Amino acid sequence: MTPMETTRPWPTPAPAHGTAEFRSHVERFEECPWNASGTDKAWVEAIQPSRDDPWTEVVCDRPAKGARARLFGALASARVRYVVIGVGGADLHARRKKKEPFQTLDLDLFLPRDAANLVRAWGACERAGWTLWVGREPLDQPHDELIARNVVEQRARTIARVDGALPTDLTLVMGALDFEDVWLRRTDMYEEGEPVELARLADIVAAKEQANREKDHRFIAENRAVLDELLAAEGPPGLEL
Amino acid sequence: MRPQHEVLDALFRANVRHLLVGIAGANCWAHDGSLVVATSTHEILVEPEPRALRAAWTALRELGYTLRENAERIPDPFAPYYAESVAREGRSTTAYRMRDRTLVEVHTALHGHSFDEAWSARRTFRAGEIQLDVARLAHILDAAWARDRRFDRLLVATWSQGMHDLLEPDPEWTKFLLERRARLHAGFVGPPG
Repeated sequence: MTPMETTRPWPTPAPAHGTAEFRSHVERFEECPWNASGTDKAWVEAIQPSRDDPWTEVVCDRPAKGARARLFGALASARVRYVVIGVGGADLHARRKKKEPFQTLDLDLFLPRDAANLVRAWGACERAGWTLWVGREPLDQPHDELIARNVVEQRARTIARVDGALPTDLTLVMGALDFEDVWLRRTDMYEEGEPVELARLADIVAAKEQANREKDHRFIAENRAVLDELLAAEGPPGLEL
Repeated sequence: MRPQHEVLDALFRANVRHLLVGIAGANCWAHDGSLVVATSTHEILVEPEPRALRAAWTALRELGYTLRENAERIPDPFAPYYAESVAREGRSTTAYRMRDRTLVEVHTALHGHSFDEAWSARRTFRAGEIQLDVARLAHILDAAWARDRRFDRLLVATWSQGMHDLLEPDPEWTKFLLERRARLHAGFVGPPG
């Protein structure tokens, strides 16, 4: 016999489900003082692991994330509603399906015409280390709802910049498409573990066709075969997980 | 606010009769952390009434959850008579929020018990200012057992052993547990800060 077997006791077996003893245990347990009606059970959720728990970050010792992943993480934490559109969005679709990436010079995020959401987006960008610009000038301080309402009224575009990543446009216009429609049909994906809200490729292509710009027509014509393949794989809305 | 409390508070404000069931519901009955199972899935039993279901779904959508039945997204606005068919057939839907990977399962039936029966036997706890309406532990464990899945059987077995150890303690086993806990805690320094 090993020392473990000789010294370690074993609990008496618990009653099986469905037996009278089991039912009696449950009834007695339910009437225990800690289960009295009105007892504060906040501690139950407090000990559950949380995504925002700094302790798990310390334990995991994750490598530093890229600027873009940090931005997506900050947007998710701030509950910003956005979808990635444009060639950058098409590029994410292509990468997801292991296709050749599309080349682009910026990343477009489509936001609803909601000043509060825009303020949260600006805050998230700054927390992630990005700076905000309107055209060639820094965005006016403070970044409050008053400024955001003006930006929304003018359908203006804000640009977030950081070293080592493509500039990111926060746009309020996506052709004739309504944000709520695009938002409902969006696809979820992850970049370096951070959630990304991605517009459906069909919506991205439709917006490009509606924009009727030469560069958009050229992009669609040059990549027609790959886009068709990706669109076929995407299928109708509502089927993606 | 924790996701579970946020959801329950939203349902309470939407005037939807609901009960916390499943693992999250069983956790509420625990006397200490030994019986609490880590989960980011919150199973909620909603009154099987179309109005209540629509109100619950709307409240979840407003919190940023995406609604699905099986793998398919539930369209917005809801299709005519969709809530009626879900309620009538006792089907379940899910709501997932990617930001914090929280899954809410919205059930309209609890195995072996009607909603009214479960509702009348509920226990009301609280988390701070938030009201937690939780199904009876017996109902939760019965439903888990009836599912006949390995994990649910494990949950019932864990609860059975936990309740047995607490209500009918074996002196030798209790002494061993206390000694082991003391040994484990002796070298534990705790999280930084």
